[in-house]
Amino acid sequence: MVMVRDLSLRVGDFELKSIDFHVESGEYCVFLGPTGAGKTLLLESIAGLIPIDEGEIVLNERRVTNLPPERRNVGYLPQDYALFPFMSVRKNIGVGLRLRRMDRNEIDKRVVEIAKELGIVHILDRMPLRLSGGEKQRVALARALVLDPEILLLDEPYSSIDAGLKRSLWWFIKKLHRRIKKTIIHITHDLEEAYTLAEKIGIIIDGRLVQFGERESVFRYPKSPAVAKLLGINNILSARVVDKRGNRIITNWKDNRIVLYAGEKADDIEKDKELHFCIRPEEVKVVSNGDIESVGKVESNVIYGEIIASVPYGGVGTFYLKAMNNGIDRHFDSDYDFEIKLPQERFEYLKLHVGKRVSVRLVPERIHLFDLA
Amino acid sequence: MRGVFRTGKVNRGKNGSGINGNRAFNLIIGGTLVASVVFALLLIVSTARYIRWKHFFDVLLSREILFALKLSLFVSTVASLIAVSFALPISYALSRFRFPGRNIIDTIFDIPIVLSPIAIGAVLLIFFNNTIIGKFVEEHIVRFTFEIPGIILAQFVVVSALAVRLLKSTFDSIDLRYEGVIRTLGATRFQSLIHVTLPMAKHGIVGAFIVTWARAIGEFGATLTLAGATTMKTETLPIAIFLSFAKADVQQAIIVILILLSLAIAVLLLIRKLSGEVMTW
Repeated sequence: MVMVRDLSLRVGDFELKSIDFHVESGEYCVFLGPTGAGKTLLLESIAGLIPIDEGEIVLNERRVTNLPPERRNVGYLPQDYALFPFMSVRKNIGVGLRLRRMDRNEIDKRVVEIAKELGIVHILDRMPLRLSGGEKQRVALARALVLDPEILLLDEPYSSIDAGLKRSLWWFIKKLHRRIKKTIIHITHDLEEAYTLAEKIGIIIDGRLVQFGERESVFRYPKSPAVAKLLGINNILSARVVDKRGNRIITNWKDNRIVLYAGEKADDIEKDKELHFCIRPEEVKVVSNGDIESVGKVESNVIYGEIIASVPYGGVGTFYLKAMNNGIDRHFDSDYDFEIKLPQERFEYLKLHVGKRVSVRLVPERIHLFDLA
Repeated sequence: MRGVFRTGKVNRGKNGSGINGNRAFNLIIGGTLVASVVFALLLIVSTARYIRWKHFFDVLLSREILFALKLSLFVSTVASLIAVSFALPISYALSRFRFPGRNIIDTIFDIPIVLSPIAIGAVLLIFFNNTIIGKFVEEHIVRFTFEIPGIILAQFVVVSALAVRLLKSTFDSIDLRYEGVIRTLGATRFQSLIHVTLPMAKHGIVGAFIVTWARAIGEFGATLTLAGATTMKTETLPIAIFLSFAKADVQQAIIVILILLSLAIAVLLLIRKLSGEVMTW
C-alpha cells in the first residue's frame, strides 16, 4: 500500500503541489503526464532520493517520510535502468544483498533463484553493456526484486525502446505483476502504455495531480480539457447554453444545436453560461454520406462538414472533419473540428476520402461535460 | 518542381559564397595547419643542431641531470598524489551538494589555474617568512622555504586546482541515477560513494592524476620562488634548464628539454590509451 498525503516539494523553479493519492496493496498504478510535468520527481520523492517540503508518505502502514532511501525498502528502476556498467549481471543483481552483508553462498543462491524466475540465468555472467533492452529490464527487475521490496517504482521504463519490443515488454511486466502481486507505481507519457498496464491511473500536469482514480473512470470521464487532450480526446468543444430542461442542456456551438445531459452538474448550469465538453473520436457517428439535400433543416447534434484529412491505419480509419453551416465554410480558425475514428471496414465502405461532405451525429449520452469552473 | 532542380546556378553567389567561397575557406584552414607544422619542424631542427652527440650520454647520465630527474619524478608524484587526494572530496562535494557559497568556492578553486605560478610561489613565500603561523610551521614542523618540501607544496598548490576541475567534471559526468539506485538497494551515502561513484570514476581519477602529474613535473614559477634554484638541492628538471642557461650550457639545457619532451609524449599516449582512443597516423 502506498499513501501520499498532501505532498509538496520545490526544486529550483519547479514545484510539485499537494499531491494526494492512495494505492492499494498489489495494485498497478500508472501516472501519466507530459514530459516535464514532475512525474520523475514524484517517484524520486517516494524512493527518498529527494526530500519533500510538506506532506507524508506511508508504505504499508509505515511512515517513511523522513527515512533515507536505504531504509525505505522500495525497488526503484530509473529511466534506462542504470545497471552498473562495471559489474556483471550476477554482481548487479547481488549488490543489494552484499550491502546487507549476507553470506556469499546465500547471495549466489538467491541471485540464481530470481534469475530463474525472470528467465535470465543464461546471461548472469555477461556485462550490462551488451544486453538488449528486454534483458536490461529483466536484470533491473531482478536487482530490485531480490530484496523483496514493498513496492516497485518504474520511471519511464520503455521510453527508449522501439515500438515493437515495447508491446512485448508490457506483457512481460503485466504477467510478472500478476504473479508477484507487488504494488507497482509506473510513470509514463505514453497513453497506450498507461491504458494497457494501469489499474489505477493518475494524471499529472504542471506539478499537480489533476485526476486520480480507477482506469475506466479516468479514461471515460476526464475532469478537464487538459486531461482529455492527454488522453487522446481531441474533440473538445466550448458552447453557450441556450436552454435547460432538467439535466438536459441545449447549447449553441457555431450555430449548431448540441444537446447533452449534465447529470448532477445540471444544478450549477444557467442560461448563457459557457460549457466545455468532449466526445471520444470513436463515439461520433457518421449519419449521412455525401451531400445532403436537407442542409437547411436544423437537426440537433448533427454536424455537416467536409473531410479535410483521412488516415486509414492499423484497422482503424481516422478522418478529420471541418464543420460547415448551410454549405458555407465559416470556420477558417481551426484546422479541424472533429476527429472521428471508425473500423477500417466501415471506413472503406463509406469511401471517406478527402473533400467528401458528410454529416455526423454526436450522441447526447456520449458527450462528456467537464467539471464546471 | 522540375524548375527547382535546374537552378543549381543560384548557389554560386558573387561575394565569396558558394564554391569560390569554399575554396578561400579551405585555403585559410589548410594554410594555418601547414604553417604551424612547418614552424614546429623548424623548432625541432634548430634545437637538434645544438646537440653534440659525442657528449650526449655523458651529460644525460651526469650526476646533476640524474639528480634533477629523480627529484622531479619524486616531488611531482608526491605533489600530484596529495593533490588528487585533496581534490577527491572537494570535487565530490562541489559536484553533488548544493550549499550556499558553492559558486564562490567553485570560482576560488579556479584561481590557481589562471593565476601566474610565480605569484602563487610569492604568496607562499610571504606566508612562511612573514606571518606568525608560517614562521611557526617553518621552525617547528617542516621547513618549506628553499627546501624540497617547498617544491612539493608549490607544485601541490599549482596543480590541485586542476585536479579539482578534472575530478569535478568526472563526477558531473556520472549519472545521479546510479547513485539513486544503489541508495534504494540499501546503501548509505558513503557506501554509494565506495560501491558506485568511485568505481565509475576510476578512469577519470587515473586521468586526473596523470594530467596533474604532467603539469607538476613542468612546474617552474612557483617552485623557483618558494624553493629557490640551488644546484643539486632544489634542482628539478625545469630548474635545471634555467640553471643551464644561467651558465650558458645550451647542450645541457637541450638534454633536459628532451627528457621533458619524452615524458610529455609518454603522458599524452597514456591518456589517449585511457580514454580508449585508437592512435591513427
